Amino acid sequence: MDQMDQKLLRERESKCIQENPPACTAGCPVHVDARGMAKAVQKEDYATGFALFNRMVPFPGIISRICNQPCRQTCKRNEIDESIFIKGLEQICVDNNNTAPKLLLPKAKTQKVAIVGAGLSGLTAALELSRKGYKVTVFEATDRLGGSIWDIAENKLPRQLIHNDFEIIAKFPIEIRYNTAINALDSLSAEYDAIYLATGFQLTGNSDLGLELASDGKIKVDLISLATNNNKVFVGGSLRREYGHPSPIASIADGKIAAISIDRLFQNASLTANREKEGLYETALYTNIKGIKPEPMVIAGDSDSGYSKTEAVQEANRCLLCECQECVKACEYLAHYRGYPKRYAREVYNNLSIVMGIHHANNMINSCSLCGLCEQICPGNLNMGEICHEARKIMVEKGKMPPSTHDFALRDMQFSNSDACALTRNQPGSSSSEWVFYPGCQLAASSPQYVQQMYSFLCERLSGGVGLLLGCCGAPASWAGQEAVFRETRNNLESNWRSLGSPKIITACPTCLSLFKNDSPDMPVENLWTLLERIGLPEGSTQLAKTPQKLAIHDSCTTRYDAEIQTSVRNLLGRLGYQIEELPLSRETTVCCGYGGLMLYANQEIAHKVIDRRINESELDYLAYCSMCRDNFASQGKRTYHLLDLILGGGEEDLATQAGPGYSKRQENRAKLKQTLVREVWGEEVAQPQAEVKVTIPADVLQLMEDRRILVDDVTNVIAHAESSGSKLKDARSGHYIAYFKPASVTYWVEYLPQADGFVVQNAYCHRIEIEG
Amino acid sequence: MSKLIEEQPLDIVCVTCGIKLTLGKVELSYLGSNFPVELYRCSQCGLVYVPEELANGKMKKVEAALEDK
Amino acid sequence: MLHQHPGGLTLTKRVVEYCAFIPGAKVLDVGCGTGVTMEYLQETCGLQSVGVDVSKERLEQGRKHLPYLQFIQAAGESLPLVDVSFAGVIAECSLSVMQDAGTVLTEISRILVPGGKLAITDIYLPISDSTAGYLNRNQLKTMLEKNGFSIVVWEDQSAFLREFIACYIMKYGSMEELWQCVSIPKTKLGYFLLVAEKRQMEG
Repeated sequence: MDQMDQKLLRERESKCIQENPPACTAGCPVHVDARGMAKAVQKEDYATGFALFNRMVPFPGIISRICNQPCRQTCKRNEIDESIFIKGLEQICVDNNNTAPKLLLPKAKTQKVAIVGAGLSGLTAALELSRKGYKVTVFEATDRLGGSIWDIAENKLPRQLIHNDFEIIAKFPIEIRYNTAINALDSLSAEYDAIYLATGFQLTGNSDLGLELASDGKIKVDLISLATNNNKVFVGGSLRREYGHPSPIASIADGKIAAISIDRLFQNASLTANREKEGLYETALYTNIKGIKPEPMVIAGDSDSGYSKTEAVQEANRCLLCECQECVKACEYLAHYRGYPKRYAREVYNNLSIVMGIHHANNMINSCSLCGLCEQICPGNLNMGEICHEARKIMVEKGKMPPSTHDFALRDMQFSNSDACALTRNQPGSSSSEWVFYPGCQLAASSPQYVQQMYSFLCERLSGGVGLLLGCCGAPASWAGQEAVFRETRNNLESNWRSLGSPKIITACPTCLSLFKNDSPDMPVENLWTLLERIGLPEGSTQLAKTPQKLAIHDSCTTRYDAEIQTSVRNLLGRLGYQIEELPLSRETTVCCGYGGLMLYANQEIAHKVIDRRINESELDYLAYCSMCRDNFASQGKRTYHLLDLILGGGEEDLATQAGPGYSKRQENRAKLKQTLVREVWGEEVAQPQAEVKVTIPADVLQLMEDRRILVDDVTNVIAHAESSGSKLKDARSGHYIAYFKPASVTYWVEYLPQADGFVVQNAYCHRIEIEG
Repeated sequence: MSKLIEEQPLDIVCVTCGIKLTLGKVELSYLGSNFPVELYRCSQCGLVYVPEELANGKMKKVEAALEDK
Repeated sequence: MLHQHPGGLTLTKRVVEYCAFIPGAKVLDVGCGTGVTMEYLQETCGLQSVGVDVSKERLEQGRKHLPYLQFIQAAGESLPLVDVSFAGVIAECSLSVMQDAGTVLTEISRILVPGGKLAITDIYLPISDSTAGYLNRNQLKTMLEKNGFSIVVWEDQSAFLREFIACYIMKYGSMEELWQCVSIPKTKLGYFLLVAEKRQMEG
């Protein structure tokens, strides 16, 4: 696959509902952005509030007083207490607005439109059509504009507002013929290219107009386009409503709909295509209302003059500013880029489809932990990890993956699978195995002693021969999008497994487990914890905890779809005498510790935020059953046990605070584990590779190396190379020797001093740029 | 343009050749791009010196810029 | 070590070779700066070079170093030069920093003789991109054709841009200052070489 499928992307993108409008907008006939208005009023920014309102409503003053407020029915706040009094917010915006909108007059077109009735509906249509350049004539039976709004009392609808609102009509080339009642359409039909009938409520039939009537005596109207059986004639406003039930806002909406229909008529376009969202609809937006305190609607001191500024801000503050953002609230990575998945998905796609990549999106693609939490939380089940993982594979294939991002992790994986650390053995005395223990590379790195002890225990308890496989399952390669490397690693693993007799695999690591289940379904696998539940724990581990202790469990993100392992862990804890607290996001909604997807390598900043947030979710000590989870939390000061600390380590207090080993120590532990096992379990002598040079590294330099991902071996190699070749520099002032060496892609620099029979390292740094000469 | 601050001249010696390093043209490369820069090196054997600030500073920036293209 | 523009004189040489000027031909350098290319055109290629730039300081520097060459202060959009008076125009990394590329091309077309050559080396965006404010290859092509040019050579020379960026960062520490005069998203760029010919009049 070399392209991200457009169609697939659209499907994924559409799962994110963040861009769907709030219920108020969807439920408003003209789709006013009430949320935006409320946000503006919260800040007393009446100019912005007015602009948003006026954008959809041509007669803002009038509507702010007489709107029949369909939004009150749909406002999400109804589910908590009372809907927001949006009309009140509109009123204060209108009353405090001093700006007039810019008017753009387009090029004049030739078509002529007749509007019958200068009520809100007719005038709206007139404005919209005049804006598009058509010649508009309004026929009004009385001597003034506005129609039935004049029936409303002055205190409810101040006349000055009517006057102000209708000023705009004079700014357009709209012809008004007052005192001209229309009783038949023939002459109009002859002279005009389209007619909009908006004459208001009719008690009697309309047969004189020659239009087809519906069964209730009203003119038959197509609901989407407002067309009648006469293709030039459109009908809307109160004329098509039940007598006595006016809806000023619906009348305005009708005017807009009719204008669009007439415009389409003149362009010979379909009158009905793609018009579903013009009218009312239900929004797909989801808004979490958990924890919102009920508060009644603010009532204005004086209902005619509306809210005071303080009252308006108070009511506006009740607005939930509806949006989804559920995943963003739960995930530090999604929050970091200040957007939401629909936008991110688009950026990822754009990043891949152009020839050169964007800084921003490359980093975003590589920073996701691929943990799948978003899918669990999103109302549409969007999985950002899926998108990022695919994107990484494409980037690697196209040669666009920045090498420095994953290089260290991939070399670490190669080391775990090299002769120094990898092991494929049957139990001593067996020529094949019914079981094989696969502890994983990180347990071997963090707690090699547990690997030894657990292997010994399994050999004791299980019959049929328990083999041992040491190595890395390939997860780093998969996470990095390195499909070819991943495949190679899996193929080697499979052939090693076969050589042992295709035994049942016992995994200690949740990530190894998930890869076996997803990638190698033909290889039978069981996780260590469920197995221990079955066969029983080692002697001495089931003593009750000295003080009844409660632990908060952190489920590894790779156990998300594996309830069995999560339950077994909890059962084992119970057996060991511990009480359990569930963290807010646990089991299928657990969060990643920051290692997943190689996040820790790609984006330390986000990884630290992730760890920080997780470790602050409970005061209790944590329990993890993956070495990386455990070490990550401990690295930022959280007391965290690994389950084996309780089973094999007696639950000693210090184990929870112990820092995980650094990169160099991890590699050393893996190598030493193999040597120790080969010697002690299989009774073979292993030739110890003689260290070429003896190197001493002070603690602060070791920390520096750790931060810069420089291994002790790297530094040793530089010094060995410098000493044997003689190629080195000397800083005359400090007396330090300085040398460099490039074993593979990275050039390492070391500053050092000779000391006794070896060397002391003063400093170490590295770069990827190559020195040609 | 003259230097405003007198930098202390580098006092680093090539151990093999026994001479002080001097500024000279050095070819660098990364991901297929070759570019010359001026660095301290031994004029005799060509051994180069890259100071820590350069490696952690400008070089990292160049690597990032070239990786993202 | 850091050239005036990506590719330095290596790229200039390549582009001049494509143009195949006769000795002594009059060639204008648009955005000539301190005259590095002008000197090359005059001394090495044996052409008659004239330079135009908006920067007074750079022109003064040029005049000091090359007093026998003609440095003119002017903007590309309004060249104080007579119609059909040049055999060639070269614009190295200068079109991208001008306000109105279209007008500049019209001016260039005006001062070139029919059959005259326009050589451009500059940054561009890949075809699929259409960020407002800068040209992608297709837009440039359209603009050239509108001004009576037919394209003779087009080459992608993005490798030079990458090297230029690397050298720039090594010298100055960051790209910020440079990117300020270029109003496009920096990371999407390529570099191209183009030679176009002003079409002969219709008979």
